[in-house]
Amino acid sequence: MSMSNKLLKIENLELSFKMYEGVFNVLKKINLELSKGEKVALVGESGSGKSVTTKLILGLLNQKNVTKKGKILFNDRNILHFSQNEFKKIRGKNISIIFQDPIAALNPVFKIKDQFYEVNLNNKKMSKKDSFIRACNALKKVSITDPERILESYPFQLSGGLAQRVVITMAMINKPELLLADEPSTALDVTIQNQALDLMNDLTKETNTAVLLITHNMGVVRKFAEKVYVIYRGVIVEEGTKTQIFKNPGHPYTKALLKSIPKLSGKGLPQFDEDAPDYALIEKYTHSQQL
Amino acid sequence: MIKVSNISKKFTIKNNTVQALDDVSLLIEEHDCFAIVGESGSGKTTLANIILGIYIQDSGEVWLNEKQLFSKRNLKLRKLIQFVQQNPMSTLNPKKTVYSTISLPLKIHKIVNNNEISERVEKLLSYVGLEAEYMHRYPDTLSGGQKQRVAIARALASEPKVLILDEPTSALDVIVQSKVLNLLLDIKEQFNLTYIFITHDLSVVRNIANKVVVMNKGKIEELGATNNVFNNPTSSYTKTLIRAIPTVTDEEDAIKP
Amino acid sequence: MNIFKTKSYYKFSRNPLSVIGLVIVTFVVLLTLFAPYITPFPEHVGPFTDFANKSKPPSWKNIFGTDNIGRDIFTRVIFGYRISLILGVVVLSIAVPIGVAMGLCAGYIGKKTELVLMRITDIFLAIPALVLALSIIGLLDRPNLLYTMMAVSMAWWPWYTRLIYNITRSIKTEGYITAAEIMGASKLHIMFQEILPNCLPSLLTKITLDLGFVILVGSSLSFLGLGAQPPTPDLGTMVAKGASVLPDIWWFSLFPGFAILIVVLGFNLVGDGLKDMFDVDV
Repeated sequence: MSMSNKLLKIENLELSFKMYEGVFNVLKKINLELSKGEKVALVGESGSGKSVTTKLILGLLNQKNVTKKGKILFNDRNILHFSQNEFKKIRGKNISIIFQDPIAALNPVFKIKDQFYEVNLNNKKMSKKDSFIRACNALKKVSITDPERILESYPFQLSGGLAQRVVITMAMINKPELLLADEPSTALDVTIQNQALDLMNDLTKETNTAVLLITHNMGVVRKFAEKVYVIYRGVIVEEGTKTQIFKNPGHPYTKALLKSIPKLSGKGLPQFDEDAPDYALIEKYTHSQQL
Repeated sequence: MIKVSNISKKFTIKNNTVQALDDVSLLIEEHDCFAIVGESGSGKTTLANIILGIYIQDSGEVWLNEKQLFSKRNLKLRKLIQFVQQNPMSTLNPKKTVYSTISLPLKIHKIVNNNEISERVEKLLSYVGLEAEYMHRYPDTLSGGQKQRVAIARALASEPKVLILDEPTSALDVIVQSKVLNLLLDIKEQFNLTYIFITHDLSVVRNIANKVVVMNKGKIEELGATNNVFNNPTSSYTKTLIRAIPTVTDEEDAIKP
Repeated sequence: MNIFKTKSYYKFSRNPLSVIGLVIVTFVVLLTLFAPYITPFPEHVGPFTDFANKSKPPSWKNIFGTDNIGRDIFTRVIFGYRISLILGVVVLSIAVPIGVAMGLCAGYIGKKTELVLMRITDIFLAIPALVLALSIIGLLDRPNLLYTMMAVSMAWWPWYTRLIYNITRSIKTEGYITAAEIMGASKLHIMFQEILPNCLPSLLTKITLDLGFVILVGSSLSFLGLGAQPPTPDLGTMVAKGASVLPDIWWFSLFPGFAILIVVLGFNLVGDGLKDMFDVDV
């Protein structure tokens, strides 16, 4: 059997929910791949299915009314139907995640040092003292000058930007192979957003961690990603490198996404026709490989 | 038309005091699309709430056409300034139909006779691009964009002269955002309104506002015509804000200071 | 519109116990509505004696047996349900409007109104329902059903005040309330037309659960000799009368007691089902 060099390979992934109103097909045979150390963005608006994809990678959708088909190959192992025990071994160690609202992602009744302790234990058993030191060092490395004070604080005592930096550091402390980032900068002020993205860039470059960035913000994609997948209503409509997507968008939906952003040149708001086509029915646009 | 004079406001929670607004003065003229820009903590929402009478300022006055505005104001003044909120999810009462929501201001301000309400609601819905059958729907069956359109129709119902919009499209998807912004501009033209547009999104401001004030921690950093502020920003904070905008083309990158 | 086909009923029926509760409650209500027609001896409800047939155990003629004056216990239990349900409905008809109005005012208007209203509520809440009801009845001259109903209402309204007060306080910062204020809606409109509809799920659930509980408290009071006076059949009184002759003459207390159990259980199951359906916390 050949070994692919892909860290993450999603093959024909399907997801549907059975509700009172009927069956909702949220993901319709999506395909996606990430190599080691690669920075990939999954771009889409609400209802596209981008967030449930991360939940599936982490094994967080197990309700009775959920139907999953296809493969999620992580290091060539299909993890889609892994048990919770098997997932526990991967989560926090091989695969890490950052969420949109850092203060909400942290447990409000525990100090930061205790939350680091939980994360450190994923790596190997250690004493609280050792955990504190490890956390301190990690925070110092990301230019936080008073790590001791931060570790002794509660989440609500930190600003949004600082909390996100703490969360990013926590996510990276065990040097995961894959980092999932679900709208990591959306809840932050614009001036802080770039700091968070830069931090993510620096840390992941050092550990050669691959990043799957989920966002609806094309500006963030342009700043951060090497490869882009555009998703609309559960269907990948375009895939390409950053240059291809931004200089030569092929699919009408990608074009619409780029067009809809008001431009700094100030030539007025973009105009759209009232009747948009059903983008999901238009065939996927694949850029020819450029070498 | 709306004059804000030396407004200051302080919030005290336990032992922490935050100066939300510090001696802020502005003049918003008729038919302006006046943008108030800032990050969180800048005081922009506090200022809007003071103009609307939701908060009471510690010092300073707000004037509407030579009449001073207080927190307690009569119905005649209330109908002139209306509000579109940031979060479309909580702006509509989940237990009331669209009809019920939009007809409320019509009834309060006696805009039309009772037997003409249905017709007027239908007309207001058409202004925001929604068909008449939406009248009977409940908010939980509407998308974010549709909810925001209903909120705009509700704001228009009392026939206001000034519309204060607090991040009206920030919670919406980009393509929907674009359509709703276009709608807002059309309505402004059609009804000769004055807009006070509060946002953190400078690229939106660049394309819809004729005047902009940049606020930082309760103080005014910069104030002027949009073209001037963007082409020749004087404050370093303004420059930082413009530079931080996520842009998607090389041409835009070149424009940044 | 077929109510059993709605999404709400679907959610309600997920738990089979809720449906059982609904069946029980419907059954009891129907029994009370048609009591004169379905009971074998409706005349035993009024002044009636038949000492020849007194204290007979359950038989085909008298399914629940006869009491110490010869009256059919089955008939009296069914009519006893009438008293119980009337008690529940009347008590809540008094307690709910008072409690809701106070809760809305205290929660929305705030400041001094809130202070005064909620401290009064706290005082009433501090006294156990049964004790409060007993004290009130004790102040009045002769115990009867009407006085019992008034007394229990006084013990009940504070719980509604507290429920509505909490919901009001959490809703009043919502966008649609601010929108109504900016529009110039009156405080009265906001309280009763904007806030109250959002309280309905919790309110309906609590009312359903309370119906069972009020019946229980009412039965406890009549067990103590208060409540409906003889010869009107009252489940609690019947249990009390039979308590002294247990365990030999078991049918005096068992059937009325069981009847109380069934109706309280029914309302509790329906109330729990509503709680799950509306997803509220009362």
